[in-house]
Order: sequence, then C-alpha cells, then structure tokens
Amino acid sequence: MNSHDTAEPDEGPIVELSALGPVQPPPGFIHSVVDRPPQRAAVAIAVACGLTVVGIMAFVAGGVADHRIVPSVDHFNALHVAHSTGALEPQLDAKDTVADLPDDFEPARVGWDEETVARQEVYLRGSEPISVFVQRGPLDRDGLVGAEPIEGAPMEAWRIGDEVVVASDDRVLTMVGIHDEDIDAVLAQLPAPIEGFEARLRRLAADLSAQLGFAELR
Amino acid sequence: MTDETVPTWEEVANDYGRFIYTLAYRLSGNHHDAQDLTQEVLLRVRRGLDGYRPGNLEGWLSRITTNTFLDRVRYTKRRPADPLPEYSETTIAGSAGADTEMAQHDLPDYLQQLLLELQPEYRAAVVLKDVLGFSYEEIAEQMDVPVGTVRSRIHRGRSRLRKALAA
Repeated sequence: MNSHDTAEPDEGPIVELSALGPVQPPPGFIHSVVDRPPQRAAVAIAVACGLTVVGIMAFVAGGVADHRIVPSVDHFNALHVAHSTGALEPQLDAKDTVADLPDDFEPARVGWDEETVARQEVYLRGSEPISVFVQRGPLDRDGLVGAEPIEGAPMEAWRIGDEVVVASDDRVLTMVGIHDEDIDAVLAQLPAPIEGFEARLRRLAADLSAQLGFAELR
Repeated sequence: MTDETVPTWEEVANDYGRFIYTLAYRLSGNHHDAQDLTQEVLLRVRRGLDGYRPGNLEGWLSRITTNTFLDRVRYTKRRPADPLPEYSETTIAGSAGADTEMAQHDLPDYLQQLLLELQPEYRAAVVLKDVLGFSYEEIAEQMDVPVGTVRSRIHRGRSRLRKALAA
C-alpha cells in the first residue's frame, strides 16, 4: 500500500462541479465515426496497403519471370552486319554507353532495336567493328542453347558460337564481332556484376513470391 | 445503469457517444483532444465489445475512456512534443482575482480550466465522482486502484479546487 492508499477525511463534493453538464460533440461527429468507424478504416487501409505490396511484388516478380533475357544471337548478328558496315566514324556523343571498353575501342554508333528491346552500341577497334547489345533484365540461363561458360572470366560469361553473352548486373550484354584475343580485355572493362538495388528488389520479390506461391499464378 | 444485452458497436457509439465525449472533454479540456480521445475509445470499445458482460455499460465506458486518457498522458510525458504544464503538488495557482475572473467567464468554463490544472489522476477521479456521479467503488474499479487511493485522489483534487475557488 502506498501513501495514496490512505483515505483522507472528505469534505464532500464541490457543488460547483455539478454545473459541468454534458458536452455536445460537434454536429455530425458521432455519426461520422459510426459511418466511418476507426477500426474499419484502419483495416481497410491495412488491407489496401497489403494488396498494394502484394500487387507490387507480383508485378515485379511477374516482370522478372516475363522478362528474363534470352539473347537473340542470330538476330543480333544480322543487326551487327547491317549497322556496322559502311563508313563508321567515332561519335563523341556516343559516350553514354553501357560498356566501358578498352581505350582502343571507340564508340561509333548507338541504335535501338524495337524487336528485342535492345540497345546496340557499335565500337570500332581500328576498322574492326564490334557490337554490344544491351538488354535490361536477368539472363535466362535455361534459354542459352549451345552456350559454353567462359572459365576465368571476372563475371558470368558465355560463348555462343562466335558471340559472347555476359550477365552484368541486371543487364545482359551480347557481343558480336569480338575477337578471341580481345575477350579477356573487354570482360575486364565491363560493369562489375554488383547486384544493384533494383536487382536485389527483384530477386527478393521473386523469392518471396515463390515462397508465397505466386509463381504458380504467373 | 444496467443493460441485459450486449449492444452493438453502432448502438454504443450512437447512444453513448455523447457520454464518452463529455468525459473525454472534461478530462482533456478541449474539443480537439476530446474528439481524438472519443475516436480512440470507440476503437477500443469495438475491439473489446466481445468481452463485455452486460452490466454497468457507462462504468465500462468510463473505465476505457479514463484509461485511454491516462495512457495518452503517460505517452505524452515520455515523448513530449511541447512543454507540459507543471502540476503543483500543493495548490492550484489560483489568481488573486478569481472572483473577477469567474464573473468575466462562464462558471463551467472556469471550473473546467481549474480541472485542467489538477494532476491527470486527480482530475479523472474528481470528474468521475463529482461530475459523473460514480461511487468510490466504481471509480476504483474503473481506474484499477484501491478505493483508498480513489478517496485520497478525490480529496486532494477537491482541496486544490477549493483553494483555487476561494482564492
């Protein structure tokens, strides 16, 4: 029992307090609470947030599933031939390229292929052109037919015929026209395969979705 | 007040919303806080209605309202956004011109202002006893403290109010 438990002589109520009558809430206040009860609103918000998160996850995971990259090597070969012939001159405005090839590779041309949603970057090594096709998304390894892994490469790289496919970050680079002796030097100059935020988010979303069974919904 | 059946949440809100609001206003002293408090109380009522046993519904609502109010006071004390008023342990700072002040202001408003100068626990006990008319035993149950503590809080609260009114 603390000191407050000691009953003290009571002098009786303060009669003036009886003047404190009922307090009217603002007009419509109670009705607004009834019409929009706080818990119902909170639950609705929580459900909406949950659905949004699940939706985003499903969307992202679905995006991952739907946009895994299978390089169209034959198509890229045709583009390389079409866009690297003729008189190519190094272009200064082509410096915003994804690849940072060795100094003796000069950016020459940048194009866009609607069919494969690929960016084509053409470089010149002397008079020898090399095309780098850049596609956004993770590499679909199961779709690599006849691919051989390039051992000792600083990143995941595959050889498909005369072409080289590299999984770099969340992009897939397909190089056409590259000489064998240049492969190591070029791979050493490509963006390091550090998993970026977007890639991590996609991977986490894909993992979560798989665990929650969303994979079957796709 | 005795009820034989458990009302729905909508019935509680419609039939007792004004009662809850009155207590909330007397405890908090302003309409903004009273509205927040009433909403939170109704939220707790909604959660707890399944566990309510028919009986003294106003007592049950008073208990929830008082506890919600005191929880908020404690939370605010832990995380003060604004300086809290100092509660005098000895007396309310009644102004020298209390009569003049009472004459200039509405009596209920003045009393309400004096109530706000009481410590929250004293204020709650006095409001439940002298404004809403609950018994010591009911208040003890509502505030979850011994009856002696209720008597002590009410006595001290009243004493301070009397000193302020007499000043």
